[in-house]
Amino acid sequence: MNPVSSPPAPASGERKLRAQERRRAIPFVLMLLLGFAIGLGLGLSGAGEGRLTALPPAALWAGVGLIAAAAGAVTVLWIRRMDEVEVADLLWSSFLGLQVFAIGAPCWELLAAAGAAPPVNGHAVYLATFAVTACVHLWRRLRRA
Amino acid sequence: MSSRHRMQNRLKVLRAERNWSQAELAGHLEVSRQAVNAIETGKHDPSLTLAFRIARLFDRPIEEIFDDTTPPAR
Repeated sequence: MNPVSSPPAPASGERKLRAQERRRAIPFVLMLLLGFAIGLGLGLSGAGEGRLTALPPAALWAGVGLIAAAAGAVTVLWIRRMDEVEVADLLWSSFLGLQVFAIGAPCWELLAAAGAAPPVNGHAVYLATFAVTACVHLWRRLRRA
Repeated sequence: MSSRHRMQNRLKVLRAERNWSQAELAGHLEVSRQAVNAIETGKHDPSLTLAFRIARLFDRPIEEIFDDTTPPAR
């Protein structure tokens, strides 16, 4: 005769993992909310129509400072909840992104000074740095999947 | 990185002995399931702190779980 057994309780480790994943999701939710708030704020202030220049510089500085402080706090929260594999991904992607900035920008400037390239475009450098960082991070994650 | 040589480990065997999923082990170690998978498949060598945590969890000496013996030269 088979002994009567109750259904197995959810494993404690899996419950812990679900709790960890919920905690790890918090910085991403905060980032989304922050991005939404910034977008909404810029839209309402009419930044696209050049109305930001009508604001007093102190208000602009305060607004940008607030955004930077909030983004910094969320980033710290995010980093503190990472495990070491995620930290390794971040180190590789940040390092290679930095190389694009630190090597790519001076090379472009040198070429521009020699007349072999158009003047350095800050937006293009920013985008290239961001794209390389994101691609390396994605590649690191996908190769483990 | 000074060497591309990765450590061998018995994490998958020990996990199977306890009938744990990767998620179960990840919860006990306070890392992501992806981290457990990366360690098991040799794509990531754990830090000393995590290696000790793993050893304590399975109640085994570290060298019984991880093996850093360099494979013989071909």
